[in-house]
Amino acid sequence: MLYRSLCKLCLLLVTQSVLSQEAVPLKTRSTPPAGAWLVGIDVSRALLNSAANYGGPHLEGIFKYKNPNRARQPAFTAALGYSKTRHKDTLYRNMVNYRVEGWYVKGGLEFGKLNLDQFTATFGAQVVASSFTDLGDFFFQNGYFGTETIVFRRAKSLRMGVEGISNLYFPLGSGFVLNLQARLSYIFLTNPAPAASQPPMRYTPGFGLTGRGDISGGISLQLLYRFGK
Amino acid sequence: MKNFLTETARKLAPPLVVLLLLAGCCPRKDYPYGYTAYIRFVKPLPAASLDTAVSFKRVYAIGGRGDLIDSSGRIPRSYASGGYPLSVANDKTTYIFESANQTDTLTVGYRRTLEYISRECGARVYIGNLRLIQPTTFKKVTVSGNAIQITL
Repeated sequence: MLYRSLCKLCLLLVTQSVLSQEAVPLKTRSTPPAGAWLVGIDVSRALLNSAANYGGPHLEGIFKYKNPNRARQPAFTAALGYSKTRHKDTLYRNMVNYRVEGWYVKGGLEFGKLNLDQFTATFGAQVVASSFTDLGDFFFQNGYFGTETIVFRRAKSLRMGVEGISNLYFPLGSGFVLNLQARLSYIFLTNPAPAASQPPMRYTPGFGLTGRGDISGGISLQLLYRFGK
Repeated sequence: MKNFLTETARKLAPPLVVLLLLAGCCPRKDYPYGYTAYIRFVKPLPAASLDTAVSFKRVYAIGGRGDLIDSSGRIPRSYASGGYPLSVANDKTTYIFESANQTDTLTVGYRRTLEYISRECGARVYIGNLRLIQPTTFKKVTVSGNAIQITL
């Protein structure tokens, strides 16, 4: 008797459950991942470079593309930058006026739903290539001649690396999107490699502050404008 | 309290020793071997010996500060470890020797090598391959190492 009652109860619950599921309307699908061209600039680098201890123009143009019909496909991301910095602090005990000038390009992929109508987080990876020159003034206290300066000038250098990035997109409305990007870079190629008697490359355009080490990182704020859906 | 101080001193001693050792790695001067050229004047005498007692009214290097001679009018033998100072900002240094009757010039050329040591020590410069750069008003000049002999 008890067994029969239990069976009836189970059947009733299952039936109710199925009926209730049918009764609930289908969940409206969220806005599909937008397919769009995103064009913008790195705001933080442009502002910080002029305000921080090393001044100079730093312009970085950013381009991103997401195919609207391929939601699962990663977005393409690229950047082109120019940097000319002058470090105001004293480096390496007797070096001042460390100057770096060069160009860099970045290209890679971003994974995750890039839905630009709402707050979105993505992560990705990109390859970075930077071509630049760096120089600085070494000063020496030379008695009779006073303080004398020797300009150290390195030949044009090429550095390449890979960069892991994570992005937080904040839609601002009217097509504008703010992107907070964190990046961690590893430089795997420096050509020509600096000799042991040369000072390290203190700053590398596109990578940021570097030393003898090959790892660099940072956070930047990008202002993007969205074209298309 | 005493134990605490003793314990703290014991803990801090090894890193302090390491720091002192590291601090000692830097060269004590930017020019450990001196940026100098040793210039010697000689006057041949009939007896085949040389007279090194030469006086000038004024001696200086272009770009330098003031005279290189002492109050007695002699070339100061003690200047910068006994030598004439060399400029590290250029590949050459020109000296002017003024005496009562005439003014002589001597330009010494050399090779500078900049060497980075470390972030804490910075870089230093080495000077080598001293040579005479013509023209000079002296009749005979010989260069050997960082020693220059001028025969008047």
